[in-house]
Amino acid sequence: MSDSSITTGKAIGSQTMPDFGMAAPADYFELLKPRVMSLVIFTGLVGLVVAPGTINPIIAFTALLCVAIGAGASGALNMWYDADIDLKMARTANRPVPSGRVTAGEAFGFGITLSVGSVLTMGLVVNWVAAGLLAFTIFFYAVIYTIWLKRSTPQNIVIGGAAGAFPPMIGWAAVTGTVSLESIALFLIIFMWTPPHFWALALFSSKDYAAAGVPMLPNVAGERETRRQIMIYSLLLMPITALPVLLGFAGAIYAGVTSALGLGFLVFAFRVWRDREGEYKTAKHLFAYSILYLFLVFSVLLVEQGFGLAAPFASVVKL
Amino acid sequence: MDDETPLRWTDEQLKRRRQRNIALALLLGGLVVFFFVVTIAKLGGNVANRPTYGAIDVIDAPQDFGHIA
Repeated sequence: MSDSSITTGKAIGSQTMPDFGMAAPADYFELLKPRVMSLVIFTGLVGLVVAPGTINPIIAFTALLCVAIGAGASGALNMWYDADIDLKMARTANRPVPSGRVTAGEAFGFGITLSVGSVLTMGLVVNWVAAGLLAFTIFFYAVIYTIWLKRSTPQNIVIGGAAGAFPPMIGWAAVTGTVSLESIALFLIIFMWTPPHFWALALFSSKDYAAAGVPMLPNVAGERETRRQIMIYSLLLMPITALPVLLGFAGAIYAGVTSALGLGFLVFAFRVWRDREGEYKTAKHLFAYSILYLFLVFSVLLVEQGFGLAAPFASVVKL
Repeated sequence: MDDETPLRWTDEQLKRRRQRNIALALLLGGLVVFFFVVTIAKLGGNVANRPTYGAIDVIDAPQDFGHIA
């Protein structure tokens, strides 16, 4: 038998088709959830830049690369485990595993290999605190969120949101080798931002989630309660976003810009809260705005620190 | 086609296998370059300050080979 022959296959119509070997490199790249990865890289970069101290640019690049690959590995493991429910949702049915382009085993192997590779590289090249945080992040997303919480509780994304909140802490740890109050503040901003962001998505995708049997808040507690929870978490997000100012590592520009952004967030959340059941336009607006909000909040921190513009808030307002 | 007949890779599968192979080759090459650059960055100034024992510039230095005799 030559190396280009195979012995297994499945019948499709009158033809017997091989059931593996159809994945293109782009399918493997899609397993990494590149859009999620881009936000993770960005927040990790902000953690790196804001942290006190210096780091060799090549080591900094390595840290970000490891964060990106680790996040991608989590995505691959998520797609491996969730292939059954991804198949039932229009938004995810064309992902590589449910569409059959990549087998579940290939996705699992890919995810595990990248997880081990990214954590070991982070530990050997950067430091083991950052590597430990990265390993915990992958574990949290793949096991705690994907395997455990996602199918068992409507609070899945509240707790699971922690996984997406770790990257700035990892960036901070890459520079300082420690976990500090400042890095926990960055973590809390993303952690508190996640519920209104995902519940806005869940509102207008609730039928998909219901079909897949995922207990998202709108399916379990109803739309009205979800809209109320979005408002509550949005209100909680505002003081949390101010923590960098209170802890002294963000300045007047951050305070001013995030206040305006926060006001906008509250307006969008309020409109979702007051909207009628079955109306999802406001939820779509909040979902889109929430992405912009997080991006801009971290951008301001980046610009302030990167260009040395972080004048203490107290000196500007003469407290 | 009976069950005993071995199946052949289709042209599309062969094309995708080739794409995967090329991607893997590029990735492995990239990793070699990456780890080389990172190693140099980690060593930093120590590359210049490495121990010189046995180097050409210390061969003429007096050495005690009494233990060999």
